[in-house]
Amino acid sequence: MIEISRHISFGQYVDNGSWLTRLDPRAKILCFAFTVAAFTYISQFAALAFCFVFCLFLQWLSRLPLRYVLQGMRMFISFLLVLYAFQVLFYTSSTQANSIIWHWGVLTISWEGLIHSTQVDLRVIFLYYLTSLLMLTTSLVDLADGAEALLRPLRRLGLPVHELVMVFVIALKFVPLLITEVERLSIAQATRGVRFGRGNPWQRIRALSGIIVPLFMSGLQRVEMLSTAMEARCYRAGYRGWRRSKLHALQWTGSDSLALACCLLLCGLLVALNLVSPF
Amino acid sequence: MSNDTFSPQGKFTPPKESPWSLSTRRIVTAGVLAGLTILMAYIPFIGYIPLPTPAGAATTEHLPVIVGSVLEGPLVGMITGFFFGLTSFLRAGSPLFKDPLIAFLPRILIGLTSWLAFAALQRTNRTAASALAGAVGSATNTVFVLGLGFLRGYLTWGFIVLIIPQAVVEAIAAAIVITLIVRSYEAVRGRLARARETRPRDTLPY
Repeated sequence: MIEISRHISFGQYVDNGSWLTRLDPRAKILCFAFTVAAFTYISQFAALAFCFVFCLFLQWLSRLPLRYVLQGMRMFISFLLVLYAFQVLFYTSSTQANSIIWHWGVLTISWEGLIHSTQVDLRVIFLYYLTSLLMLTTSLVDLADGAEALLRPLRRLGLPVHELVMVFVIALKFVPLLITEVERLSIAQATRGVRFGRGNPWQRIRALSGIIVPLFMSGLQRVEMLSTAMEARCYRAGYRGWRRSKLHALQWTGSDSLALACCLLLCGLLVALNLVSPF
Repeated sequence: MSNDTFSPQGKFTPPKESPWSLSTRRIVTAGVLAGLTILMAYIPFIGYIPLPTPAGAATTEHLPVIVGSVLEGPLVGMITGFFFGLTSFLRAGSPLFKDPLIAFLPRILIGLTSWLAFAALQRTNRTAASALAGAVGSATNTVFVLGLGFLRGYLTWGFIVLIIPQAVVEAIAAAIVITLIVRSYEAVRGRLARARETRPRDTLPY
């Protein structure tokens, strides 16, 4: 529990100058959205195998060490394995009676349950891989700029796009900071002899509020500092007539169009494969 | 600059802004609270309080949403609520939360209802107001998730009856923790020294 941050590589940008890293964030976000949509749609093993090949190709393009990427996914996969066991054991459907392997009380293992859960979990792993790859190859600032550029049409509907993207960026930036804070607080509370998850409900709430209250306090104090710092640098969101200029303007190039075209083609193939394949 | 006012005794007085505007401070608050929501969703250790109820635990994930709407108004609460919905939608193992309506709507509403509860009692007693906001926010989550789940056919009456004691414990826990957070934050904030701007900047002596 105490060293959480060592096991999470989620959201750590690696600038290794690969083709994926240099792609325009708008193109990357669009490709990501299409691929996620396609991956969510598919339900056949043949298409899942194609997804695997696709992920391998992306991995090769990103030039990231495979071990590093997998290390970041280790905790998630172990969590998913536990979930998988539950999914299989408690799987219920009207047609599973034909394929039962083992049965005891409410617990059942059937071929249908196994196949269904495997498909669902493989898909989740691929989706998680895609997300972590996007985070590993794109810096947060780029991601925010891209998202803001793509969502700009929504401004016409009166939606505060810039503000919402800002909230998102701050949230993601603060997660590692807050994780460190949780580690520090839980060590501090353990030193004082606090035992978590013991005693009656009232004692449990008290023990946990020893972490939660200081966590909120430190977060809110950082709010104070950050908002003062931003306003000192003339950040005025939500103020009429205020516009922000960019140090690095986004540029759409030929390779971005190529990436988008390839991605659309692959997603189309994936959907077609899912429709025609028999299993 | 936010136009907070601090009386000489160091007592916190809430800022006088429209609850429906977005200042820099509110954007940053929403961001940090959304960060806390994400954290709580992915670190189970602080994401729940283990309790002897059928579900085994009381969630704490709605706390940032309620804190946001109590401290900074409904918009911050609703934005944080959106993030709460997003994390539960992305993490969902059960079909209940794979339904975007059930994942998002109740959580966004937490921001609105807990702010309404807080605003109603704010003038009388801020401690009671924050406790009420905590209880109402937690109850909103439970009632709307279960209600929508029932309406859309994911849940049965038996299950809902089973959940009721859990919901009560959760509401009480939320009321206690929210009061602790809000009141201690106001104590901390009241202690901050800040020059009051009574004259235009360029005529100030410093």
